[in-house]
Amino acid sequence: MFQSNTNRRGAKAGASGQARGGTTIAALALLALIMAGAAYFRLNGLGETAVTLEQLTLLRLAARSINIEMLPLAGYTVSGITNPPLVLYLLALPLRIQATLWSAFSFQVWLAVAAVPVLYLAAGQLFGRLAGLLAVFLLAFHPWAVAGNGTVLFFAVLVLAGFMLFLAGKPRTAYLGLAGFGLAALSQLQWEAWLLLPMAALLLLIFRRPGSFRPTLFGILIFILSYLPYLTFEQPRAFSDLLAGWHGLFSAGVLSGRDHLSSLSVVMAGLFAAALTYGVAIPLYWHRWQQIGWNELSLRLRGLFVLALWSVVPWLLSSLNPVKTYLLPALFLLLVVPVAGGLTYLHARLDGRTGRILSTLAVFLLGCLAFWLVETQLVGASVADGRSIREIDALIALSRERLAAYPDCGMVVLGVGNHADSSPIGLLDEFVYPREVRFVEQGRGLLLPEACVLYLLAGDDPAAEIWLQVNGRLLPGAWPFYQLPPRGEMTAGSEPLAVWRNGLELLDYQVEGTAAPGQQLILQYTWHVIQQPRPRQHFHFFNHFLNEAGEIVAQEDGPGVHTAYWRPGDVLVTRFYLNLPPDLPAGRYTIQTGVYTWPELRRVRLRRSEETTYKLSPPLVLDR
Amino acid sequence: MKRNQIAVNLFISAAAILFMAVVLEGGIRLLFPDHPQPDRFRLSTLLGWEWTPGYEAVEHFKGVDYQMKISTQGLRNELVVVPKPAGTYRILALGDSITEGPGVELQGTLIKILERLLAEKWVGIETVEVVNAGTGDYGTEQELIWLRERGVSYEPDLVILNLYLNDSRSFVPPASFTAAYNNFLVEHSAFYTFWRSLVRQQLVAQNQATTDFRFRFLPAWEAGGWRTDSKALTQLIQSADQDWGLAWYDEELLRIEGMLTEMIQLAQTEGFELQLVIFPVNVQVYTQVDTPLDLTGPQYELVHFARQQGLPVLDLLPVLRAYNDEVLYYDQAHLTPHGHELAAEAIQDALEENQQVSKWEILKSMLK
Repeated sequence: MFQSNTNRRGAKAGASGQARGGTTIAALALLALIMAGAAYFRLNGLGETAVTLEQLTLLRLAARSINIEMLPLAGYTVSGITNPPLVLYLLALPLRIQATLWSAFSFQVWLAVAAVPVLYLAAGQLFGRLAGLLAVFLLAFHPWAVAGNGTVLFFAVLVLAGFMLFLAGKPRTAYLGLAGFGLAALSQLQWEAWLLLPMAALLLLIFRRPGSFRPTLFGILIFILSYLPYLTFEQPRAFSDLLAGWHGLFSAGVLSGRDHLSSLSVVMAGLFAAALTYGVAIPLYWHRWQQIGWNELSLRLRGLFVLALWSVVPWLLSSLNPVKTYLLPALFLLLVVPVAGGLTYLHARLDGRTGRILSTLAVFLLGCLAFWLVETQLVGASVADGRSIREIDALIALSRERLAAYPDCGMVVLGVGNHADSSPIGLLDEFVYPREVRFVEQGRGLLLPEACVLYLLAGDDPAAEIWLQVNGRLLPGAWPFYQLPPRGEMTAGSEPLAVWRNGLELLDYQVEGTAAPGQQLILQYTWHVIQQPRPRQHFHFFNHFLNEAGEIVAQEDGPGVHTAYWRPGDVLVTRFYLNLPPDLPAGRYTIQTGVYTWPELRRVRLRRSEETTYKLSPPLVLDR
Repeated sequence: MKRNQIAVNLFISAAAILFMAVVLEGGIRLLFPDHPQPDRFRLSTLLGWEWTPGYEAVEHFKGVDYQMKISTQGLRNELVVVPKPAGTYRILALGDSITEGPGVELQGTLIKILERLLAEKWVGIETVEVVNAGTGDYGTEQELIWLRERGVSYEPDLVILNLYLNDSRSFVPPASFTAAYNNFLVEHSAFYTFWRSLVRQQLVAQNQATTDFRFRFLPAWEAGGWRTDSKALTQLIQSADQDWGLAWYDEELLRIEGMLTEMIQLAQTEGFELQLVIFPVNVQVYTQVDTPLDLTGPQYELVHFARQQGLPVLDLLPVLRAYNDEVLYYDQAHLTPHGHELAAEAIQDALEENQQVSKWEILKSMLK
């Protein structure tokens, strides 16, 4: 039936070449309009988009790859990000041209826009122009697609188009080559996309036909080759991420549909049930009824079958996140094919003029709905957490400017997070490379190098702010930069109170607050770093509140200033907040401090001594 | 038909590869009859690397030619008789290249000087043997493994552990397959060895930064500012943090202490005495200033630990410092023949002080 319809349409089109040319131009114009709209919706407000910590970390690693000219990349982080290098290679491309966040994020936008014609070509060939246009319309304007990662969308479309064209169209080797590359990239960008592999194997088995062996082999080869960078990256880590991902894939949380299905709205559940029925049940019944081989099915039926298996099965299997960016193109196609069919049906049943008006109205209404959804859900949405792309780009530019003006100064950021990996603006260090940026947690202390330093007060720390105002010079600008003059070397008179074997001297301490039950003591220490800690060596400080029997009755530990930032000659000021228990009995109490290795928790001994702690004096006497 | 075709193709490919291998092997042997020289080291799954048994060559070190001969037992020493003959007092000297003695003939190494000194001292004793079990770049971990797996079979009465400040460095043994094929090919194929030396040259050129990283202290060391400038000395120690500067890190000393504890236990189990000798870096010997890092800190901590454990210990720093107007070192680590002499004398004195000699006297009386 579909075959004969196609033939009829072909005959009609052949009879009127001019009309076909006109339709093609109109479709291309519409496609161009959709692409422009897709770009507009993604670029409009992009600068105000909040950036997540993970995105920032990935950008930082990508920038590092450019700075140190070394690949693979992710092995250099302590943040626990286990993304394979491919995503970093892709992010590094735009950063090489312009090292700004805007550059990286707009690159993803252009990839998403590039996905539009690719999907149109594949969908148009199998399901007709109308279905193709409707599918790319959703891809361009659906909120999930607009919010989704453009890189993922691009590869998802590439792999879908390759498979669909090979399985339902002509079995060209290039199609499977594209699909193999796309699948390798996609599964490295979104780990769950591995679920597509069994689907791909199943579909290749179902639709096997003479001459498909070599293209399949070619596709597999391309897939394996595209995975080589990842395997190279994993090899020195004993493939631990790969194995963890594999186990994670089969954990209850991922491959269980329970949570996901119950979280669906009625409308969405209905839509997907309809798509499932349409995509799976009808071809199955059709096949049984007609008693024909798979390869004798029409392009459209085969395409639908492929789509159904391709999208619905992995979607139902996976429940981590209801919005699967990598499945969106296939799901959109599943949704629009019946819509396009309905419109064609209406067009045929009603008289020509009414049909055109109705179908145009339907498309218009669909467009309005998409516009409304995008406007309300994305563009109009407020930036809840994190700083925006524009804000961070402005900070990067200002930091570069400041450091250029003070070539002898280092830079310290005082704000949230005590390390670049945990700071919302941690990527600064790689974006101002080769200048060094160090991070100090707000309220936890200060870092005072020997040389001059530019302090960026990026958080809320009133005590530090006062100190900076007194000792430094506030530079004009949107961000509060303070310039501190060189501190100079420690003078001979500054004899340490204690020296630990990790090269840390205790110079001074202060205890603020009242030693009373339920009260808080603020312990501020001044340290001098005389030895560079070894790479990957971390130290934490401990503060013990001891009773007369030497028992610990209160304790406060922490990293103070992160060990990665200790440099010989630095003075560190660390601040700890020791909460005393409310039922503290009267007596004499002592505070002791020291350092231990993290995460081994091995106390560091004092130099030329077996002791590990320094006891603050005088002891605190507590009366009740 | 198709299967036959594949089999024929595979056979032709294999034959072509084999033919090329034979041609290349023959070509290299013809073109470079003296090439390649056998490697002084071979890979070891147990120790990372070890002396190649039977290796013999005239080597060059810091402008000095010397004879390097490795016994079939894999030691820079004459053959050691096993089982130990009656009346022999056998000392095994463990260590790295300082013990091995590059730039010094075997008889000029501190090990053989010590042997002669002891023989002179212990007149009337049939045999005193001091076996050089030093292997280039070994750390304490490898020495402990060597002693446990091989050294005890030599039935030592005394083991001298020569410790240098970079001995906490760990090692990664190669996979057994890698070691097996590598050692086989090195031994039997001139082409492989030739090819490997080319690749190695390339790798060294490419990894210049990595190589430099361990020895990045060398320019500052050669500049010599550390002799009189405390800040330069501090920076030098910091920049040697992949080599001898390791000893200024507490966790590295702890690693050594852990291995020393194991060695003490092994000595108790196997019934031999143990003597620790700490070799200083020449910076400690020749500098005239101190550093906030505590110039003699590593020795202090190690001696303190050894004494706590009841382990006889000799710190060579004060001994060599007393002669710091003389040339005792070829470089930052390796001793000149004169340095070897001084070290040997000091060790002999220490053995006497630590009463290993008195034990020998008892043994001697028993033998009579």
